[in-house]
Amino acid sequence: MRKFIDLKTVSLVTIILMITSCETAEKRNGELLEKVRVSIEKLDISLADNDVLMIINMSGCSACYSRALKYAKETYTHTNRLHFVITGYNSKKSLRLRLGQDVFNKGQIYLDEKGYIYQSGIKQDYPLITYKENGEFQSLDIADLKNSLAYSRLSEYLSIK
Amino acid sequence: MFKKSLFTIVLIAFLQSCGTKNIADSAFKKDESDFDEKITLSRDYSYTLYLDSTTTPESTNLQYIVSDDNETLAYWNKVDASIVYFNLKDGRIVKKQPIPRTGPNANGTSNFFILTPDSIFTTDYSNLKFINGQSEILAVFPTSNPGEFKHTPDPYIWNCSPMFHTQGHVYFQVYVGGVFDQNNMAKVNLTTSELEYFSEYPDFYQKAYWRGGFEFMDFTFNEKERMVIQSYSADHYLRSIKLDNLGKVNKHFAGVSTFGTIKPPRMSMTEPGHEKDEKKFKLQPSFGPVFYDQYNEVYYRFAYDPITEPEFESNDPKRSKVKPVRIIILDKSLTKVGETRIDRFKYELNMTFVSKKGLCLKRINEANEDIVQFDVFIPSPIR
Repeated sequence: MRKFIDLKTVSLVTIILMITSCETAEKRNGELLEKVRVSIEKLDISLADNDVLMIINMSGCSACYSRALKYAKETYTHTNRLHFVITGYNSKKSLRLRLGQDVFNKGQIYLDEKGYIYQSGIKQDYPLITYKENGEFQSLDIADLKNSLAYSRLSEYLSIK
Repeated sequence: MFKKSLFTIVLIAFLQSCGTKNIADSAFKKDESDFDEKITLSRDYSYTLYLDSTTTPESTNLQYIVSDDNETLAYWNKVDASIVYFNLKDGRIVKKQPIPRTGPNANGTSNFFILTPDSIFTTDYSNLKFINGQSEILAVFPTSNPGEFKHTPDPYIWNCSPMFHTQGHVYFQVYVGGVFDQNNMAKVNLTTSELEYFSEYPDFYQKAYWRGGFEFMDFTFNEKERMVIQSYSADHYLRSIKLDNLGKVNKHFAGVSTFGTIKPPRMSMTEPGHEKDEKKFKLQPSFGPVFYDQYNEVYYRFAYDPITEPEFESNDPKRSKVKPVRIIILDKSLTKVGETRIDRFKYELNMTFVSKKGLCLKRINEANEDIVQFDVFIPSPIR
């Protein structure tokens, strides 16, 4: 009796789908990194090799950006290698009060006043962490609520305990 | 044989998809959308608040209070967790009430309802905390009963979904993101601490997955009629519920005749395409908060036109995000009597409140963040 579903066919289709989905994710990450590069250029931010950039979208996931801001407050005295671009905010005053003047004055916080991040097509609701190596932004970490390792990886990279 | 069966199935599915109304769509009856335009809104006045160095120009909870001819605006200040009281006559701060986050009166609230200066309701996750004017906790009541639900909702309280008190009960919205098949309001009996749930999403919400911006409900309270009036983001109608009959819901057309049927972004949570939910929300009309003006005995409801596809694709931070807005005006019997367009990019509509002068809309002012200005729109008959 011919089976309605051919097991070999299903297995083959599944494998093909898995391969193409991996390629798709890699392609998506590559496209996102390119958008990051374009928007950083527009913002006129210069980062050295081994620096890290965190993009915080304040019109996205509130628990996520709150965590990112908290991280900024906790770590700003420990490193000069971590830079923040903050976008999607409604009030600069609120942001300044929330982060504290010291954090603001340190010079590693960049405000995306003209919305270049969004214009570049970066519409993430979650903080994006990208690492600059060999002159390029390599690798992306999306610090959503499920990615519990994003901040520990970042701290390890920056040698912050 | 298999090919013939597959062809038949595909043909039936194709025919069914053509020209059939989806039962999960949000539609309205054309004849209900006709109305006699009797009232318009005109801007006539403004309030200015002068902020101190630690008060921000954005707030998620406002309450207008009139007492002995004094007009006060109570204002939640997130950055230092305080209730700021402004005298609306001169715009100055008259009192700042900090809410402690630690210690014996620790309170994690970000909202309030002021009954009197010494009787204030706040919610701190699963508790309703009743405090005095020094933020000391006087009583605590539960705000959730996990036993009733598959997904326990939390209090969802902010400026356009306020808490209110009447006859020994406190009422508020409860919410779980993306869940539309359970109650969405609750009341706490302050004598017995009993918690009761009521109100459901409209039928069409329960038949699809209304996300991307459609999931929200705002409401207002008419104290004289003892009635809650709800505005769902995808609903052309307002829904009214009388407090003495919580099981009965009446609906009242409060939409726009040119809006057309609104379609859900997806039919279920598991259906792929979540990344397009927000686009489907933005490219369709929707509705926002409703306010009852007890002084003029009218209701105001925000209605949003869709963003165009070119605007959405432009990635312009304003045009691709902010929908054009109009205000629907209804009389005390919830009959539509007017419709006024307002400037698309001028106001921060989440900070709207009603005063005895009219509907107060907060002006966006990026240049000076030490003042907050409200333009007051007054309803007036069309001659």
